[in-house]
Amino acid sequence: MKSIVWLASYPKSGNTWLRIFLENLFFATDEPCDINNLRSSFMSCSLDLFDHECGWDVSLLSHDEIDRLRPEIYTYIDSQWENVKYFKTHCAYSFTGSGEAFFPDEATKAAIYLIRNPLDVCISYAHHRGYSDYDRIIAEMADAASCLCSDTDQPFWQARQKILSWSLNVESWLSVEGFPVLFLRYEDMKNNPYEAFSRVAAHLGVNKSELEIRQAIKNSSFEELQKQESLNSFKEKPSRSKKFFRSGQNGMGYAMLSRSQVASIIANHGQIMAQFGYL
Amino acid sequence: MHYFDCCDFTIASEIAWPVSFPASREPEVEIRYRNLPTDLGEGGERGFRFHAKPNELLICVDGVARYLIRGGKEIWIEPFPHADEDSIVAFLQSSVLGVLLLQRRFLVLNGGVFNVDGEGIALVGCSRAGKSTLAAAFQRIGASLFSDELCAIKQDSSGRMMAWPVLPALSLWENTLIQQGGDVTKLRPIRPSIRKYLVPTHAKSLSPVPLTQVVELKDYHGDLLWKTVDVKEAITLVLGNTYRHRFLIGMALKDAHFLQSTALIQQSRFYIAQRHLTVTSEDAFFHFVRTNLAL
Repeated sequence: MKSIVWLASYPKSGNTWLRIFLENLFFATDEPCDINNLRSSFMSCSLDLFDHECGWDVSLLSHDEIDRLRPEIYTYIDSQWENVKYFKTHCAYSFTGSGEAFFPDEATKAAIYLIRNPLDVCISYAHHRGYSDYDRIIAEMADAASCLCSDTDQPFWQARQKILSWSLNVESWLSVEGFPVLFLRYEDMKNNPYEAFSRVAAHLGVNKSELEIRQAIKNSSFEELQKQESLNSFKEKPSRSKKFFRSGQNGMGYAMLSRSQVASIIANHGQIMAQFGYL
Repeated sequence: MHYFDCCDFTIASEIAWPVSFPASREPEVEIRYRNLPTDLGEGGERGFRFHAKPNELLICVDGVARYLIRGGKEIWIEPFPHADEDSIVAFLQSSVLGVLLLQRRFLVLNGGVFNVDGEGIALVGCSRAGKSTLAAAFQRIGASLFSDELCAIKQDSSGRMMAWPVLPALSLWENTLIQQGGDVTKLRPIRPSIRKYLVPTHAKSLSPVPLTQVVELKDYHGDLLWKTVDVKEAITLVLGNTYRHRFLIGMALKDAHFLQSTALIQQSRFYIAQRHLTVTSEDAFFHFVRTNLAL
């Protein structure tokens, strides 16, 4: 059917914001959607999702065994579920040990890849992880083997996600040939939201009026997300993070990182930064 | 053959189980190695790796085995090449046993049960909600654990919904075991590739007890919350925590399940215990649930 849309990004690049925008767009009302009850998008690595489809406890599998299942599960979901399915992922566009793409062409309608200045990602990601040490995040963003949810000694809710380095994450999605990928800068979503989110709607083939898109943007404003989080918290907030929707501002990297830290990020990721207008 | 009890029946098995209750009667269930079909033919409820039809269900676990559970009396297993026995047993004692219980007309909920002074208390919730960790904590204060993953309930001759002991063991992740002072070097992993361990509870008795309280553990995005559930919400709670609802549909057991659920709702008290899964410590949550249950 080719009905899956991947909402892909390196962490802290606007993925949750995009999901909330889509929720507000698809379930359009005057009232903002509940950020703790998003119905239009799913976590691509959710073990609950895999359990439901397999009929047995997937957490009894090793990470490698789960990896081997993923392409086939997505293809199965594509064939069984109705309508377009939106799946969030932080994974790089990568392959199983036997060379199968985690995100199969035959199941995929399209992808949207969100990219954000890595200097700002560094600040936001450090707060998200509860780190006060930016150097630790800078090292993680440069780690070509970086993974999320790779613990093996405790319960895990999501399958291991190979996010790789910041640059490799971007490059991997740039290499996709089997389905259309829209690259969208966080900064453009922030500075010119109507134009950016209209591109999203157009890429997805979603026919919505200017009024509907503007209302969805308004209902997804950072102030609205912060308000909801302060009232009811946000279930995707990690334990060590004080706030999920913390600042959302552009340019914080230059303001808060030392010269050597900025230089380090540029040394690691300068090529991709230049490609996307960050240098 | 190996013989052992589980709930109200006895199993004869070609494959040994690492933990089990000793056999006390003639076996009614057989577990054997067999060559199996890859499909059960037309009809039924199909999933990515299962096929359910009235009275039979086929499960396929990649790299481990295919399991056919039939009539509540037979479990046939065809291992994949090079599959190890621990892996075969790991899925046998969890998902496959759950199907057998459904076919034997148990009401099966996702969760564990412990016995306090002759009353059963169930801890139910979605996978990875912390049920086993909490059950282990209750066991440490003297509760007798009936099971930690499959809550098996059956109506007795007087109409009471009775919770039955399933396996005398807890399944705990290494991190939880270490936090609780356990020594993982003395335990065997459930599977070679998994750092989760089967911890024997040394329970001896197979006597059922009436299930009087059901606590749903919920991941929440706010503060700790304890809520008493009314009858209408209890229906949602039981349905939401029913073990593999899709299996019930495929095996045409929905009507029986509805009657069992109704009987349980009339008999038991229901609560929801909410916490922020990534914020609330296991210890704080245990004390919160214990205090609210007045144990």
